[in-house]
Parts: sequence; C-alpha cells; structure tokens
Amino acid sequence: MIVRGKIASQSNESSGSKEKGVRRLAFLVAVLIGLALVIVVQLIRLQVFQRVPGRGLERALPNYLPKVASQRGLIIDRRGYFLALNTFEYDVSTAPDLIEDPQDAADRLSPLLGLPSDELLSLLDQERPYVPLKQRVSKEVAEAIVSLGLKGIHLEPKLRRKYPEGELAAHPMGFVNYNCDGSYGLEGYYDLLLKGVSTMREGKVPRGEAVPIVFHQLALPQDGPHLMLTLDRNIQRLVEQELAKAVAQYDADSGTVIVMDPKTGAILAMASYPSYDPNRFYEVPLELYNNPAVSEQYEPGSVFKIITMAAGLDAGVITPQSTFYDSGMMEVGERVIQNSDRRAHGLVTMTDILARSLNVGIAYVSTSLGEERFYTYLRRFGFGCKTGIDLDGEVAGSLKVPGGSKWSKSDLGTNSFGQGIAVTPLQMITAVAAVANRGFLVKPYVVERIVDNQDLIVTQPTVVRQAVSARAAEQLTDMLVEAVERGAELATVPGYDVAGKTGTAQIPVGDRYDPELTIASFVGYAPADDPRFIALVRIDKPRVDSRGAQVAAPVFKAIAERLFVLLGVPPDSIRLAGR
Amino acid sequence: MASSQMRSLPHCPERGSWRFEAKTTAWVLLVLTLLGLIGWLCLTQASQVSTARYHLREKEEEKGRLQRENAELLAEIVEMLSIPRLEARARDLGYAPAEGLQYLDVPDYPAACTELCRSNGVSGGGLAAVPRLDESAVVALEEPRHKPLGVARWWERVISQFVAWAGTQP
Repeated sequence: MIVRGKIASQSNESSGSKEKGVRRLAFLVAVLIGLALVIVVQLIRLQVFQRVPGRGLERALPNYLPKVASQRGLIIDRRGYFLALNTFEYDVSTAPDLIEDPQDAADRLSPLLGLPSDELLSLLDQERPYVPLKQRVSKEVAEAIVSLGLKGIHLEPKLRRKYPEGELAAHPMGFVNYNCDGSYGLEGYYDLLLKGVSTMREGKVPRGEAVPIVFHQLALPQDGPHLMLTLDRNIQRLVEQELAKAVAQYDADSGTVIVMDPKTGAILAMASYPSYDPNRFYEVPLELYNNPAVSEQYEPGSVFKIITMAAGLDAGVITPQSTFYDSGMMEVGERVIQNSDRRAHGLVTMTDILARSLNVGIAYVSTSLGEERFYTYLRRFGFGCKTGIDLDGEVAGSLKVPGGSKWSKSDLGTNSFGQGIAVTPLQMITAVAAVANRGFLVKPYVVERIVDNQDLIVTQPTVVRQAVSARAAEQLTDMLVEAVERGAELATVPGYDVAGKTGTAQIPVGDRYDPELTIASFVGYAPADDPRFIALVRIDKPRVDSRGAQVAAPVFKAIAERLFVLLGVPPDSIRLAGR
Repeated sequence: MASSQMRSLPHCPERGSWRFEAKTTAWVLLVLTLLGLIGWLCLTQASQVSTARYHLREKEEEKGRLQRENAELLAEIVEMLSIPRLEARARDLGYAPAEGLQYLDVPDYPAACTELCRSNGVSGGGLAAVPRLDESAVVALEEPRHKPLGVARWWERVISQFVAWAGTQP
C-alpha cells in the first residue's frame, strides 16, 4: 500500500508537472502568437493604411524620376568659347491612379502646359498606369509644376543641345535631334564619342504603381568627352559676316568660305551661306543641313590652274620663265580649247598664263606633261578621294582618269583649267595649301583636342604626302604673288604679299554649260613667304558680276585684312625687318 | 524481486517520455529562437539594404539635379559671353572696330618672341611688341621677398650652394 501510495503520489506529481509544462508551452505559444499578431497588425497598418509614411518610400518616388543618362560632351572653340553645350527640358507625364482630384489637377496644370482643362481632365481620368501629358516643357514650367505639389505628376529631364552662338559655324557643327542623336558636321561625326555611355537600369513596376521602385543599376554612366576645335569663333564670325555681305552685294545664290592653316591643316573657319540656326534645325529645309564645304562638288575653273602649273614645274616640263606662243586656241582630243576672252595673247611666260588666266597656255602645260603624269599629279594633290576631315558627309569629288569609260582625250585639256572635274571646296583649298606648305599635302582637321576627365588626346598635324617639291612650290608661290598683283588687284592687301588665283567657273546644266551664271572663286594665302592662313572664297551664281576677280577677290581681301590683325601678323616690311 | 519490478516498471516510460518531451521542446524553442534571430537579422539586413538603396537613389537624384543646375548656369554664362551680346555691350560702351592700324618697327626686336608666341597659340598684334623677359629676371621674381631666418635660412643657403655647385660641375 505504501508502495502503491508512493507510486500514486509520484504519478500525481508527474501529471502535475506535465500540466505545468503544457501550461508553460501554451504560454510561450500565446506569447509568440501575440508577437506575430502585433507584427501582422503593424504590417497592415504600415502597408495598407499608412504606406510607410515618412520612411522613404514616398520620398523615393518624387516627381523627378531620375534616369541616369550620360552627359553629352561639350564643343569648345580654340580660344575656349563654348559652341555647343547642354541644357534640359522636361517631359511631363502622369500616373492617373495617384491623382487625388483630377479636376483640380487639370485646372491647375492647364495654364502651365498650354492645354485645355477638359482635354487634360480626360488624360488624368484614365485607368492607365502611365499617360504622357506634354513633351519638352521648359525649366521654368517644370519648376512651376513642381511647386504645385501635385501627386502623380512626373517630370523627366531630357537633354537638349544648345548652340549659344546661334547660326555661327552651323554647318561644321551639325546638330543634335530630339532623340539625342548627332547629325551632320561634328555632332554627326563624333556622335558616339560625344554621347558617352549611358547607364542601363532594370526596374520593376509594382501593380497599381506608375513608376518602378526597384532598380538594378548595371554600371555607372560615363559622360562624353569634350571637343576643343581648331575653329576660331572670331574668325568664323568675320568670315560669315563677309560672306553674307558678298552674297547680298553681288545678288548671288549662295557661297562658301574656308580659312585654314596651310602648315597644319587646322581649319580656322568654315562658313556657308545660307545657313541655319541649329537650335531650331527643324524649321529649315533638309537641303540646308549639308555642309557645302565638304559635301558639295563643283567645277573649280581657273583656280585649278595652280595645280596644273605646280605639276608642270615639279616635272620640269616648264619653268617660270618658259614661254609659249598663245594663238588663242588649241585642239586637244576632239575639242578646241580657247581663252575665256576668245583672244590670242602671243608670246607669254608661264607667269603671264596665271596672271591673265589663259586656258590655252595651261592646256599647253597639261599636254606637255602627258596623260599619265598629269593625272598622277592630280591624285598626289588628293583629287578624286576624300581629304579625311573629321566632319560628317564629306564626298570624294569626281575625277575622270585615262582608261575610265567616261574619260576622253579632250579632258586632258579641259581638266587643266578646272573643267570636267568636280571637287569640293575643301579638296581645292587643301591642294593649294600644299603649294603654300612647300609641297607637303596635309590632312585637314577640325578637332584640336579631345578632353576627357583624365585623358587628353591632341590631334597631330598629318602630312599625307609631298605632292610637289619645295622648289616647285616656292617658284609657284612667286608666280602666284605676281598673278594677284597683275590679275586680281582687288585681292591685294597693302603691306603684305598675297599669293593666289581667281576662278570663274561655268556651271554644267545637263550636257551643256549655263550661258550666264558662273561660280566666282578665289583662293589665296598670305604672307606668301611664310603663310599663316589660306582662304578659299566661292560665290555661287553672282548676278551683278560673274568674274572671280571682281566678286570673290574683294571678299578675300576683306577677310585677309582682319585676319592679319586677329592672327597678329605685322606687315612684311616690319615682320621681315628682324630677319 | 516482484516489488522492485513494481517499483521500476510503471515509472520508467512516463519519466522517459516527459524528459523526452521537455528536451524536444527545449530544442524546438532553441531552433525557433535561432530561426527567429536569423529571420530578424535577414529582415534587418534587407531593410538596411533597401534604405541604402533609397539613399543612393536620392543621392543620384541630387547629383542629377546639381548637374542640370550646373548646365543651366553654364548656359547662362555662355549666353552672356556670346558675340552678339558682347558686340552690343561694346557698342553701348562706345567701342568700335579698330581701323587704320599702325605697326611700329622696333629696332632689335627679338624675332624669337614672335615664334614663341605663335607656338603657344598666343595671338594679337599688341603682344608682338612685348619684349621677352630675361630668364634671370624671372628667377629673381620667383624668389620670396622675406627669406626664412635662422637654421632654415642657413639650410636653404647650403642647399642652393650645393645645387649651384652640382650644376656647374662638368
């Protein structure tokens, strides 16, 4: 009994502690359930009723929806003035779900966006997660919208390229379109470089939300490098003013001027008229976008005699003192070559041929050279292929060569004075620059430096080849100085030796030449003994006077006079006195 | 013998079961606690990562805003420096384009300076008349006006003498 009683008491004790254990467990479970309930209630409160007030979620979804895009590189002239930079416009959109009072929002946004209130209301009252309201509003409008404090209105910044100088250097610059793609000129040529590398982002858009809240940024954006140009803002301005004045004065259709450093190939100015404002590129016809200096080919006319004469001098078939009897006509192939004045000039020197611009005399030089040598020299001067300038849209021109289907024997004569051959203004000035540069043909370029955050790439002048010997180039320079003094007095600048040549080119229309209209041109460099610049002036279809000596030469003079000041070139008498 | 069996048999399973249950419960609680701890750590970590992400985005946004402001300010400055604006301002101030320039022939003018200016990309007619500074004059200008005194001055003098000596040795 005693044992049983003991056993019974032990059994009671055991069941008591078991119950106690169960109670303890129940208590713990109750505590855990209580804690879980507290958490669930809190979660419901935060997620449903309060939506994490003030804890970052709403702040993380502000009106500005950031898009980590790279900044396009700036474009700066050789003196450090900005020619192209970035500003921002804003695309306005809405998430209608988040709009609390569509009518009120429509009324307040209407005057800012310039849209009727009822039209806005219909946009704000849709059941779509995203509705665009207006594109490209200004910074001021964007700030006004932000100040309204409307929920569900989003502003996305969009890069807009700005050209602070307006039309200045529009053709070499090109422009950037609404998709931030560069077109034409430098903007087109260096587009990929200037763009930099934008950041890619992956975003998840929760149900009912208009904007993604979870992002995975894959890389940091890299801004595009800046371009420092060889163009000089002041020279560009001067050239554009003189060109516009000349086109108006001579009642011409259009014109082009290029100014270049003949020793390096650096383009100091490149202007064409008519031009356009790249800030409003969408307002002008597409034809204006092309840069005539590199994209438009023409028959250069008598300016081309420089090249033929250089070839003759270099090959040794003539010297500056060589004489030729000009009978007024010469038959080359099936064609009779005549002088532009239809006269015979008798016994003339090679310098006379340049000064009087005699077609017959220069045809004598090309025929003396022969087909093979003549066209070899033309190729040496770079005709028939692109110069390789760093601008979009360059064309190669057109050079017919012996053996080609279009070439005929008469081309040897007509090509010598710039007929039947098509060149770009840039090709022409580059070829003549070789004469100015002791025979060395240099590659023209517009970008002097590419400036990155850490790297600096400097463009080194590139000599393509030696087209003619230094001796031939110097002899020709002396001849060209005399040619200007005798044949293009309007291009002379007192105190300076200017070497150059005029051109009055006929314009081919179908199979014939226009009987009246011409292209008046002049290419010259100065000071002749140590050229600091070379300039080509081309005036298309002048109606007041058709001759290059009367139309293009004065433009060259006006530009040269100011260039001597801008480049700090004293008159020859003072400059050479110290030597 | 029988009593000893009676004593031990009925108790052993019950006590063992209770011990087993208590032990299991302790383990379950421990595991639950650990799981809870791990969960709490994970949640805390996730929360911190999430917060950091929002902060990062805020900073990015701030950076973008500042970049845009910077670009706008630069545009305003450049606008003010544009040629038409400068020309208009110059006209208002009574300036006119220079005409009738006269160049002076300076005897013994160092021609090298012109070359130097040109190679440095410096332009402008007026600069050509600026005589080139003598190198010794440049050195003299660079020397400080108030020389250090005492040991420092003595040490500087020793160094300069040593440099001079080293520079003049063949």
